[in-house]
Amino acid sequence: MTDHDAAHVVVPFADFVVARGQALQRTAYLFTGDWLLAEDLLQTALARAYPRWDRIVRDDPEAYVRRVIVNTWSSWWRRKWRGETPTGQLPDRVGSDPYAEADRRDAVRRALARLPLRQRAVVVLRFHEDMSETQVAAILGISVGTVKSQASKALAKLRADDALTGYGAAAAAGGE
Amino acid sequence: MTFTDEEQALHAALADVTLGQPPMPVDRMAGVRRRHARRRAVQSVGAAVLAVVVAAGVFVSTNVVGRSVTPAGRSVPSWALPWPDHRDGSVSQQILDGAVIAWRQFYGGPGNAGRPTKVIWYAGQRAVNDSEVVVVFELESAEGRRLVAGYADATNVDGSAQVHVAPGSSPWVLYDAPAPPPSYRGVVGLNLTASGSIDSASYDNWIVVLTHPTAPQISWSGAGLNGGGAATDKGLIVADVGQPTGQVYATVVDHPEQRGGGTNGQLPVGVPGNNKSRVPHLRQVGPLRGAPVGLRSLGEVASQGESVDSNLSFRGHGATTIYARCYGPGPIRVAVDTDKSDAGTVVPCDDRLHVLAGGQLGPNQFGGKGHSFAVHASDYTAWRVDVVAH
Repeated sequence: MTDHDAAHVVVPFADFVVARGQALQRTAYLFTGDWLLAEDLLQTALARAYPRWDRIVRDDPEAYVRRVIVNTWSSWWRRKWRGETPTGQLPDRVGSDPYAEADRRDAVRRALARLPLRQRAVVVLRFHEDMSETQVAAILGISVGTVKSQASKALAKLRADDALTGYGAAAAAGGE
Repeated sequence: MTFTDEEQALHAALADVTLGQPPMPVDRMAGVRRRHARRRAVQSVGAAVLAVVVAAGVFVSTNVVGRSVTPAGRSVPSWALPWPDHRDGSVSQQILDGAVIAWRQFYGGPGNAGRPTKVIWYAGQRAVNDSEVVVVFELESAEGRRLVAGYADATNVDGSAQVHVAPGSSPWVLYDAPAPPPSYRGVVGLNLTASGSIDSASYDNWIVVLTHPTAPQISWSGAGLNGGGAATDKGLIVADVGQPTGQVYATVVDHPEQRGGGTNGQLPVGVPGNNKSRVPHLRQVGPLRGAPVGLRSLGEVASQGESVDSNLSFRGHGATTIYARCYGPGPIRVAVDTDKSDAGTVVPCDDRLHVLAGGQLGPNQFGGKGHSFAVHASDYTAWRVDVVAH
C-alpha cells in the first residue's frame, strides 16, 4: 500500500462523521445557541466537505470542517440572523431552585449570544476548542493582538453579565 | 497554554453549556448526502444552461471575468514566463496569498529554504460559475523555481475561512511542478468541476487553460467529447468541455503570423510535469441495472480511481456478490473488508455490467461496526460498484 493509499484509507467520510460529529456539533452549538441550528450548521459544513473528501482527508479533515463551520456560521449571521439575539430576561434566581443548573447554563448561552460575532468566535475557538491565539487569529483572519483584545472585551462582557458566576469553583477543581 | 482563573471558568462554562447535547441523530449522514445532492442540483442547472450556450457555436467567447489584464509586456524576472497577469480583482489578494501559503505548507522546504522570495502571478480569479477560485503562479525560493496551479471551493476561501488551522490543512488543491523555461509556448491547465457537483451524474469537467498571450484561440478534444474551442483572453480560456471518458487535450492555435498559423499539437490539459493535474473528472458510469437494492446492499458507489467506502450500519456476514461496471484502462479490483494488496475480485472494464463472486464479509478493516469495500483502479478508470451480501 502506498502512502497515498494509507492516507486515503485512514478516515472514510462516514467514519469521520460518526467519530467527530458530536464534538463538532458542540462547537456549532456554541456559535448558534440552538441545537437544531447547530445540527443544520454541522450538516451544511459536512456537505461541503463531502465532495472533496478524498483531497482534504490527506491533510487535517477536522480542521477543514471546523473552518467551514466558522465560515458558514459567519455567512448565516451576516445574511439573515444579524438581528437574532435572544432578549429574554436573565434568570433572577440562579442557584436557588431545582432548575438552577439549567438556568446557569441558559445565562451563559444568552450571554454568549449577546457577544458580537467576532468576540463570540474568539471565545468559542480559544476557550472551548483550546486553540492558541495564533490559531484563532489564523482562522478568523485577524491579528493575534486583535484576538487578545477581543477575548479581553468578551470576558469583560461576560463578567458584566454574571455569566461566569458559579464556575470559578468548578474550574479551580479542574472540573468541566 | 496557561489560563487565568477567569478563563478557566469560561472554559468550564462553555463545557457546561453543551451538557444538554442531544444524541447523535440517526440520519446525520443521510442529511449530509441530501444537502450535498441539493447543492449539486442547483449548480447543475447553471452548468446545463452554459452547456447549451457552448453547443450553440463552434467557438464561443471565453467566460473569463477578465477586465483589466496587464499587458503581456509587463516586467517579469528573466526566469518567468512572459505572460500577462490575469488577476481581475474578483478575489482579494489576501485570499490569493493563501494559495502561496498553502503551497509552502504542501511543498515548501523547512525554514527559510521553502519561503518564496518572489511570486509571479498569471491568474487568480473566480471561475466555473464563480464556484471556484483558480490560481496560476510561478515562484522562486532558495530551493528553485516552481510553477503552481490550483483551485479552491470559493465558499471555503471567502472572507477569512481559507486560513490554515493546522499545518497542512488547506482548502486549496494545488499542483506543483518545476517551472518551465521562459520560452515555453505550451499550456498550463487545470481540470476541475463545479463545487459540490462531483458526485452528480451530470457534472461536467471544466478546463482552465493558460498559454502565451498571442494565441488567439484554444481548442479542446478528448474521448467522449464533442470538442470545441474558444477565443482566448490574452491566452486564457475557461470552458465547460462536457463529460470526458479520458484525457482532455488542448490545442493552441497560434497567431497566423507565427509559425504559419499552425499549432503545437494536442497537449494534455494540466500542469506540465505534473501527471496528477491531467486527470479529468470522467463521465459517470451508467446504472447497474438488475442489481438488488435494499438491506443486503453495502451501498452503490460511482467514482474514478482509488476509493474506499464504508457502510457502518450494515449488518451481515458470509459471501458477497459484486455488481460492477467500469470503463477506462481497467481492470478494477474490488476488495471487501480487506486492504491486502492482492485481494479482491477483478472486473474487466468494458462499460458493461459484471456480476461476480465477491469476498467474504469479515471484520471491518478499520475496526468498529459495519463493513467496507475498496476499489482499486487507475485515475483514468471510471466505475460504479455495489457489493451485495447473500
